[in-house]
Amino acid sequence: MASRTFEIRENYVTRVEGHANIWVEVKDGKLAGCKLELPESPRMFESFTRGREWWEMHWITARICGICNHSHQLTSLRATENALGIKVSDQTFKLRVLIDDAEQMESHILHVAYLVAPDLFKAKSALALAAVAPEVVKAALRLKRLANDMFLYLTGFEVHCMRMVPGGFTMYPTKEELKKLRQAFNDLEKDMMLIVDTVLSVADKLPGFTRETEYISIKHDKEFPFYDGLTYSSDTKKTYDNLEYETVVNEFVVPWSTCKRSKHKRDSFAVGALARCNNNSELLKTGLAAAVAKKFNFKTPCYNPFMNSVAQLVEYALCWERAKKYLDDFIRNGIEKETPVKPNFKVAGRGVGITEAPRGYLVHDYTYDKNGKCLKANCVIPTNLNTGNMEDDMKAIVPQLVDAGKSPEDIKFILEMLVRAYDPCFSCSVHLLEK
Amino acid sequence: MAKPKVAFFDFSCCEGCQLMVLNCEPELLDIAGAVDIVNFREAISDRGEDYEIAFIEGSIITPHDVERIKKIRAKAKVLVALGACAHTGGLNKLRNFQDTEEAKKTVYGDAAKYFEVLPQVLAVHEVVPVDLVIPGCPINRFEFISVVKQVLAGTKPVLPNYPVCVECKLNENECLMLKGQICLGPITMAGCNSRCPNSQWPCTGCRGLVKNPHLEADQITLSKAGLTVQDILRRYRLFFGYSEVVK
Repeated sequence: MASRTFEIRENYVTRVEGHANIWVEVKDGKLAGCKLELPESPRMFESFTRGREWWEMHWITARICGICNHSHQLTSLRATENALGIKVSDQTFKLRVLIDDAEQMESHILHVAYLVAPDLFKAKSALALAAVAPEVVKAALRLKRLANDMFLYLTGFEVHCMRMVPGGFTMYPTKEELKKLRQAFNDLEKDMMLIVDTVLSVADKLPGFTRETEYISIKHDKEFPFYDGLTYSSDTKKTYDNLEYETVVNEFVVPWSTCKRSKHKRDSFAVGALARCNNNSELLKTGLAAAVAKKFNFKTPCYNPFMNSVAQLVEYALCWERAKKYLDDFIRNGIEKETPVKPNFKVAGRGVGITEAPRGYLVHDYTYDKNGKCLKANCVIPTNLNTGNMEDDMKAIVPQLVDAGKSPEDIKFILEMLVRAYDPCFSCSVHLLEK
Repeated sequence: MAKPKVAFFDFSCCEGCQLMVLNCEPELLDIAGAVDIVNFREAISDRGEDYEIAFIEGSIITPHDVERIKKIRAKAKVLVALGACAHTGGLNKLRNFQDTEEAKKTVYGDAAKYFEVLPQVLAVHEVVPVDLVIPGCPINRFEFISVVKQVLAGTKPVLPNYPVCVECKLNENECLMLKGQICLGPITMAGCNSRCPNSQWPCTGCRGLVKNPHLEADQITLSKAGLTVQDILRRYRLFFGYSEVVK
C-alpha cells in the first residue's frame, strides 16, 4: 500500500505553454490541500494598449500569445470592427473562417502530437518519440507545416501575421498558392490518418475519470463555430448576446495565481474543444469528424477532461474537410482584391469580439474615442476560464487515485497529464483585465 | 566530439519565438540531432542544469526574473537573446511609459498587491551580458538556423548594419511611404527580408534601430506626413522603448 500522507509539488509543468505549478497535499489518505498556481509575470497589455490606435490594436494584442496569435488577431479585429461600425465583406468573412480553421489545425496538432502524445508513449518529448516512431513524428511535422503554409499564403507569416487588418486584408494569396495548399491536403491525408490511428492505439492510456461540469463555448446552428457564433452555456441551455459576456464569465482573483478565474452556474466551468463539441454536437454527425469520433467511441456529452485531446482530433478532421471545401471554392471563384472597409469614427464606441481560440472561448472588448484611440481594453482568456475547473478536477481525481493505491509519482504524472489535457496557455492567461 | 548542450529558457513574452523554433519543421530533427537539448520546457520534459548554450526568450519583468537570468548567465558559455522581448525588451516596454502602480491597478484592480514587478521592464542585456542576438517579433526561423550553425562552427554571426529599406528595394516593393503609410523601415535594422512591407504592412521596428539611424531625416519625413511629435513617439515606442530616442 502506498503511503497515505504525502505532498506533491511540481514547479513549472513542462510541455505546456507558459508557467504553472501544481501543489497537492494528502494526509491520512484524505486530500488536505490542492492548488494550481500560475506564477507568470504580468505584462499588463490592458494597461499599455490605452491610447494606441484602432489600426494597430490587433497587431499589439496578438503578442499576448504566440501560440494562439491568429485567434487573438481575429478576435481583436472583430472587437475593433464592431466598435467602429465596420462591416466586412462575405469574402473577408470566409477567408477568416479558413484562417481560423488553420489556427485550430496548427495548434491542435502541436498539442496532440508534441505535448500530449509523449505521455501516452511514456516518452519525454516528441523528439524522444522520434527515436521510436520516426514516421509518426515526421507526419506530425508535415501536418504542422501545412497549417503554417496556410498562414504564410493567407496571412503573410506563421506567427504575428501582417495581412489581416480591420475591414479586410492588405494582400491576398495567388491562385497558384491556393492550388499548392489544396494539393498538400491530398498529399497529407494519410499523415492525418496516421496521427489519428496512432493516438487511437494508445487511447486506452487516457484515464477514465469523469466529472460533469458546465461547458461554455460559442454556438452556431449551421457551421461548427470557431470564428462566429453566440455564447452558450450547457447548464442554462441558453445563448447570450456578445455584449452580455460578463454575466457569463464573472471573473475574480485568487491570491496564488496571476490569472483571474471565473464561475457561472457552478464553482467553475470548462471551455475548449470538449466544450465546443459538447455544445455543438449536432454539427459533428457527418463527414470525417463523425468518422474520427466513431473510431474513438467519442460520444457527446462527454465529461472526461482527458478526452479533450480526442475532441481536438475530431475538430481537426472537421477543419480539414472544411478547409478543403473553402480552398476549392476560392480556386473555382477566384479571390477579389478588395480594399479594406473604412471605419466610421462618428459611431466609435465599445465593441466586443468573441471567437474560439484552440483552447477555448476568447473575448476582446475595446472602447474607442472618436479619433479611433483605445480608451479601455479587456481580454478574457480561455485558460483563465479553465483554471478553476482544472483545480476542481484535481480535487476530484486525487482522492480516487489515492483510494486506488497510486503512488505519489503516478499521481503527479496523472495531474500533469490533466493540466496538459486542457491545452492550457498560461502565457496568455495572465493578461486579465479589470474594469 | 560531444554534442554541445543547449537550453531554452522563457521569461515574460508570448512564447512565439520558441514556437518559431518548433516551426522549423523540415530542419527540427536535424537540429535536434546536432545538439543535445537539455532544457526546453515548452516542448520537452527533461530539465538539465548543465548547458553551454542558453537561448533566452522574453523580457525581465519581476525580481524573480532577475535572479533566474543571473543564474543562467553564470552557467552558460554562450547566451543568446532570442527575439525582440529578450533583445530590446520588445513591446513589453510600453509599460515603462506608464506609472507602474496605476498600470497594475488598471489590470488587476484591488488584487494588484499580489503582483510584484520591477519598476521598469528590462531587456536581457540590461541585467546580464548577452553574447548573441536573434532580433525580431517574432524571430525569423532561417536566421535562427543560421545562428545555430555559426555557433556550432565557432564563428560569430554578424547582424546587418543597414535598414529594412535595403531589403525592401531588393524585393522590388513599392515604397509604402509613397503610398501614404507610415513605415519605420528607414531606421530599422534589416535581416527580416522586409517581411512586413512584403505583405503591404508597414515596418513597426521590431528588430530595433539600425546603427546610426538617420533619425532627424526620419522625423522630418514623418512630420511632413502629418504626424505630431506625440504620434511619432507613439510609433517609436512600440519597439524602440529601449532607446534614448523615445524618452
